[in-house]
Amino acid sequence: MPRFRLNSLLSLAIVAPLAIAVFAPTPVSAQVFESDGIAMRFMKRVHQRSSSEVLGAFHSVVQNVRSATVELKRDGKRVAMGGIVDSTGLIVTKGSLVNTFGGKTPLVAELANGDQYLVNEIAAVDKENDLALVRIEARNLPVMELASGNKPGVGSLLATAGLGEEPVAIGVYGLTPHAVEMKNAMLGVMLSRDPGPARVDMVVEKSAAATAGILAQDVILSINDQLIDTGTHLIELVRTYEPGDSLRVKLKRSEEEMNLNVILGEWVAGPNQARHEFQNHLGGELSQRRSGFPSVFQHDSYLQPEQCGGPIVNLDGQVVGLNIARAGRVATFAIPADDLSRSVTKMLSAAGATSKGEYVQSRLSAKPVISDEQLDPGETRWIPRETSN
Amino acid sequence: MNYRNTTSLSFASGSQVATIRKFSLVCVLVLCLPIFASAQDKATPEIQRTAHFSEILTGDAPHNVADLRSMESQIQQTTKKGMNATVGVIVGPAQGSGVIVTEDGLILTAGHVIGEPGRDVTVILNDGRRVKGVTLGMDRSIDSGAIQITTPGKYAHLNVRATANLREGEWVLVMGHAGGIVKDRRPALRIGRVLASSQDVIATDATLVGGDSGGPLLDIQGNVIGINSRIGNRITANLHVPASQYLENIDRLKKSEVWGRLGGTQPYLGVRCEPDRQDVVVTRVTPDSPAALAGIQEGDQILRFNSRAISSFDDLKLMVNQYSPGDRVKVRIRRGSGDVITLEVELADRRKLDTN
Repeated sequence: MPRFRLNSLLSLAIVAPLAIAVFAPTPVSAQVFESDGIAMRFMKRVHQRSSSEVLGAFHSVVQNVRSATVELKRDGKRVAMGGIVDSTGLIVTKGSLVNTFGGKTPLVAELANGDQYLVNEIAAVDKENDLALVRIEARNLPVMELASGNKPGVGSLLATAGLGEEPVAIGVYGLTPHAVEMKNAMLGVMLSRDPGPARVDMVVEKSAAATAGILAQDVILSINDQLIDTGTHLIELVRTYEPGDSLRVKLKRSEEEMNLNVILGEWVAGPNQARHEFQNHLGGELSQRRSGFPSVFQHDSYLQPEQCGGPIVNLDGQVVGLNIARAGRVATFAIPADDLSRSVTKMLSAAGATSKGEYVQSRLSAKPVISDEQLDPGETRWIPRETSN
Repeated sequence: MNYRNTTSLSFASGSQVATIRKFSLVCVLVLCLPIFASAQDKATPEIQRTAHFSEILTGDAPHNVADLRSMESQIQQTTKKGMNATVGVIVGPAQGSGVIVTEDGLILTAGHVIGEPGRDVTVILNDGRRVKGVTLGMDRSIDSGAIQITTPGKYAHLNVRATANLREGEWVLVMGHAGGIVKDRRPALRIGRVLASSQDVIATDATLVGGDSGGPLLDIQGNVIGINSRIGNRITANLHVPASQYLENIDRLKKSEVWGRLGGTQPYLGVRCEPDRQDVVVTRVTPDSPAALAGIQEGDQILRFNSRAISSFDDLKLMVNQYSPGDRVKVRIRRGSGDVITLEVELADRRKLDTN
């Protein structure tokens, strides 16, 4: 492909975008390049930073860690990645991706060697870091080793392991660990102003409620078995949850009662934030829970939300963190190895306590403890627990 | 091949000298941490270069871990240098980024960050210090712009590289205050490669988002090759203004000149004249158009458009097209009564009129 041809296409395509958002409010944004489709089609994949040639150079980097990496699947579809932390079958992953009402489909853990295991239970949950331990019945599994000392810094090259020879994604360490404040949760329904039960007036487009299938005129009866009397009550109750939390919503739709599973989204406040969120969503889906972390570092690996939960390594192949959220167009968050190690230690002891029949008191008691009342024989049991801090 | 090798080698040695000079400069700037800074200077490791490394510098993919390690140490060295010259800028209600390219504090940024010349700017340096600045000129058609720091001082700065010889596949670094300026948070680093480049725009897969606008696109050796401008739907659609555009027009930018029509707009005056007549006499004024609002009437003869003599309707249309919606233009006319008056017209955007 001659270079000039591509260039003339690009310079033609550039005319549209500048108009859109010129004197933008805070923060000034990159404007949207609408006609990129035409020009971008001609760009050669071989020149991209994640071309197969570049990923190939990382083969030996992820060679060790991939044997301790798992894919968690439902119905054959990946829902999360994870890392083995105990050779008898404990896997750390992103909590909000697995701590959901999965209905009757079991969660399956697939290893790099092709072995598949049924997940028995969620053994422990660290809500603060959005981490969870899931248990499979296994022996002598390879365990991922966390890097100690030798910390990566801004400019370090990183690779996210998958089950294959090639890493799932590569990137660069872009920002040192920092806290990310928790955003408010949003269900995405506008309620009727009439007194009485919580009747939905309108469902916000693309919101958690819309994804779950809530319709206008539905009456919300309960959330996680807590009865809802009024609209105000519903609003108050939703406020006690966090983005990424799974809810079982019982509602009445023209005399018929039904249950829907909702995963709460993030509240978007005001047009400035809405604008930024719009840009942040250009280029791919983001994690439902992408805020509220005590300490995460930022890197620029391009991950899908369901590729979070697994280990990320430096060029020495050491695990320097666990991908915890696809947070924006330019950012993936990872929990640094030290913090991960502390959380895993806590969760391991919590999981041990669980097996002795002790109950781990939730730090945030208002938060959901998910369990389906009726379990068919052989069905997985969901007993998420939180570590006490 | 031979030629390539020599050039990249001479690049390398040049940039090392530059690095050392820059570190000593940083020592001056970071007053509270002089010992720390000089210790870092000594500790900067020599970059172990693999045989393939010179090809990587010109856009090849790394082949193995040894290549990756060479790249990593080069990226880390460039990042230190680049971060020191990357700044946050606050212009009115807008926040963006920029990069210092001269010792006295000339900042390259995006046109849409500065908006117009002569505005006050708060510049946030990498060490957290805030200094004052003023917006200079801009080329609206390609989104280039500049700022001058007015607080006297010697500022860490980067070299600007002509981009005519930019190769597809070249490794690049991007820095900027993605998502807005946050206290005590440095600009975020990202890497990518050049996917396409032309005279007017560079496309890379180093991701950008709001707040990055105006921040630098660096080659792997730390030269400024572009300024972050805008994004598309795809993750690979990140667009930058080429550095050559700044190098070629630096005098115009410094003189606070504004030129180039904003892409995607159609400047609009709102008069019709008889095309074949020698005098440009208005035969129709569109109601509510900029011309009508300014008081231009049917029968007026248009003499000058911002001091340019107008000799035909085509001439007038051409002149209008050189400006952008929102521009205020002085139009000199002769009334039927013989009076010659000057009216100020604020041009509108024809596209917006259509949608209203």
